[in-house]
Amino acid sequence: MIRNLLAAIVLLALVSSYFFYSNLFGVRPVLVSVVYPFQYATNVVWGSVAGTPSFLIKLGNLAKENAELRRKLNMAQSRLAVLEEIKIENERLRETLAFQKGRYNFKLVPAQVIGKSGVLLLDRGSRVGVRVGMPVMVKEGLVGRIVEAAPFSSKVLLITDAMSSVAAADQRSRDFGVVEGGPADTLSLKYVAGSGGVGQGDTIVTSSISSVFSPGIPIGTVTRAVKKEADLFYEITVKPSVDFSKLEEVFIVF
Amino acid sequence: MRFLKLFLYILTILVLQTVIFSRLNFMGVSPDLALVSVIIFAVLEERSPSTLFAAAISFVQDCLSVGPYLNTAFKTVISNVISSVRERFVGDEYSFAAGMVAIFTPAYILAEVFFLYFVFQKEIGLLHLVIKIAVGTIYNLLLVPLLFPAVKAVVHE
Repeated sequence: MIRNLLAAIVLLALVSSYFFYSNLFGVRPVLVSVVYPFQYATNVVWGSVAGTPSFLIKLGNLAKENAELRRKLNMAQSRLAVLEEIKIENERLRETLAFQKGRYNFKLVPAQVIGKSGVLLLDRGSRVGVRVGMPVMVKEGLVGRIVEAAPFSSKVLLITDAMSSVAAADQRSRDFGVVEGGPADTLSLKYVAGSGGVGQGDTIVTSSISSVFSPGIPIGTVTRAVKKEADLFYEITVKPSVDFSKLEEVFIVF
Repeated sequence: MRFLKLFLYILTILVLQTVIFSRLNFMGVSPDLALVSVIIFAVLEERSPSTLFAAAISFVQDCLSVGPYLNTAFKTVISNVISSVRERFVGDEYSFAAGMVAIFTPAYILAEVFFLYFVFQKEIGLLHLVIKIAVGTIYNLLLVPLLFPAVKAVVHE
């Protein structure tokens, strides 16, 4: 009886400790670092084993795909050169109008997904400059943010996680709200005033009032937006723009 | 030697869980190798070693994730409950383990959902919950034939 009681107290203390000492005095990053080499090796082996059949099937199309990718790269580079010009012009105009400096000056560092355990485990850590709070994205949109950085790996809290919340805005109506994760890998946009104009099919992006994420990164599309007469806020469901089950490579925003 | 085998078992299970089995995610549920291992271990072993095993494997699992130590708390309790009832069970260990997986997987998912609801105010629709429980239980029951011989080999030196 006493042993059970002691065990219950220890477990309760451990659960409560998360809210005050989330990295358990450095124990968590150490354990992550110990397991990391095995995860990395397994991921490499699994990648080559699982990728072999599709590689063989795709082998015939490689030359065609290569040519297509080169063409797209050339196009993207040309567009990038134009965008650089526009960016410089934008910054100059902002200065002229005494606006705040734009927040689009960021560097993207690629990282491999080596595992998933509620969070995404990446093969980049504090050794290459990854810090807690850095946003993580792919070309489709926002993935999440770094919540723990060990020397060689880091953990990403997905935007679909129940503990995640992101300041967001409707790209069309410019209504502000907070995107929160749910227990079934879904997203909901909360605290959008009932007077707003959010509609089905609207794109939700990160908001300019966010202190963590750069503005304008796509989050998802509104699949349901309803407001009952007595409610102050909309009830909005958002379908993420990223397919989280297929993430292999992501970009950390430095 | 036994300690080394247990260490290697825990490491293998958690690496497989995070790297390979997590890819089978469906509606936020993937097979939980650690939970099935804890249940089988509790069926085959005495209370103290199985409690320690449950605490160790689920603590490392929690450290590889984020959030409060729900795995550690719930799985240690599950291991203890199974230890309390195993002496009164008449029948073969394999069926007992499968039965416990069928009971404790839904219980574990429900406990997790209740925690999220009361601590983080996150609601889940009834249909989602039912699908989550069904998928989780099927996944975990499929793991029993794979993990039972492995745990038995670790337990019986």
